[in-house]
Amino acid sequence: MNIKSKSTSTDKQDEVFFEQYLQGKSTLSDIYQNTDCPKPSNELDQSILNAAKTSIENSKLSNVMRPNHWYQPLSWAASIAIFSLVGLLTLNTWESEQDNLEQELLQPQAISEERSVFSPVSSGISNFDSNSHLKKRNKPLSQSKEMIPQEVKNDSRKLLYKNEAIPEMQAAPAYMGRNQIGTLPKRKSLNSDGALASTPAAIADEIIETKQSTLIPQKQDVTHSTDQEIWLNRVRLLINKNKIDEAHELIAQFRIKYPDYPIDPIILQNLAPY
Amino acid sequence: MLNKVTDEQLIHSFYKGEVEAFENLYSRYKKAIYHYFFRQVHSKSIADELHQDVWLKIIKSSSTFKQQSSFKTWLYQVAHNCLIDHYRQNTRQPLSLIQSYDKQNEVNLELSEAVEVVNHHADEPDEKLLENQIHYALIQGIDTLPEEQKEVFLLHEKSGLTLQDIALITDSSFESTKSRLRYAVKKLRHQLAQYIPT
Repeated sequence: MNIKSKSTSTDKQDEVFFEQYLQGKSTLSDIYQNTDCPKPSNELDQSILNAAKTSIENSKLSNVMRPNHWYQPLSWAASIAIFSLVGLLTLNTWESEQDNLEQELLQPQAISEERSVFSPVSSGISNFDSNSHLKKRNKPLSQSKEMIPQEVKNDSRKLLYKNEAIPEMQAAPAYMGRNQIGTLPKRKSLNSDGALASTPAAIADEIIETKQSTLIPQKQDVTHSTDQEIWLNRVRLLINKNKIDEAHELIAQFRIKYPDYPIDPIILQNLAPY
Repeated sequence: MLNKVTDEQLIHSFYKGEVEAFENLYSRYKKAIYHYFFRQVHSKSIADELHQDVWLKIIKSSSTFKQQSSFKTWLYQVAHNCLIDHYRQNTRQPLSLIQSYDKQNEVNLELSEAVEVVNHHADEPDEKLLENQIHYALIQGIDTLPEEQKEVFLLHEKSGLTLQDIALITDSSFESTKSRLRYAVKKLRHQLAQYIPT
């Protein structure tokens, strides 16, 4: 019993001593700190410091000697970036060109005006002003209005036949005579309102309207068209002008000259008996 | 000015090419590292060898040091690994007998040096003599400690490392590190019971 209590008190003392030691209040630490401890020799110090110097010199040398290869991956990355950028730009340009072509396809009359030089018959269609909305966009409204002739200002998008507007889009009651149609309130022209004309939606509506008012859209690729296509375009023009007989004659001549050349089915459809 | 610079800054400066930074760092830790080895292996030649190994590893391993731990902890981790490698080589080599002879010689040399010191201070007051006796008793006590306890005590005492750092260096848990230190302190206290007042 006595031994047991003695050992318990020793353990407690040890624990207290250890806590004091951890807090740095123990004499054990003081004694140990004051003990002489051997030091590395000067030769050893010198050899280690020399090794450090040599290592630094070697690393400097190797940095000088070693070629820098960092630019290789960088140049690869730059090349890829440039190529992808060029590709995107090309694609973008191509898409915009396609859009332009589509728009031009929807505006066949605009091209027919350009093509009037090829037309064998001078007609009222040559007065067709399809690009006026494009011209207007670059000019102030007042100025552009002054520049446009009166007959075009009314509705430049309409087909003119013998200098008169074709009344195909103007729905009129059956009892009304042809002279009375002019008294009806006129459909609002897209071109008469400058602000509206300049909006993309207005332009799109304009295109659709033009398309509807045309019988046969003409091929727009003037520059690359062959003789056959020019011939067929003449036929189209005649059909548009309702000169069916002349168109018949022309297509007959065409067929004789070019028996194997495929004719646009729309032309054939309009020249039904043929 | 250089004393205010942290160890981490110094080692980075050294790896960037400043030799002076390494000199400063070396002067800070050379005694502690050497002492750590000498107290473990009891041989000056082996301590020299291990000391050199550690610093050469520090010089060469610029990519190993990361900012996750302090330089001090990393340095002692390298030292600890060098010591373990040394023990492994020792157990394999048949020359261990020669080394143990060498070790015995070193201990004898240390003892004779202590006796010489005592004789030298024989004419000095009793306090000085007593102090030397206490030192000698403490060193003897440390030498009799098991390796693990000895290492923890030396790292804590001479290197000023915290228990958590020691646990990290010796790759053991915090509790077992604390327990080893407790046993070491208890044994040394009993060793010096006649000198240390309870």
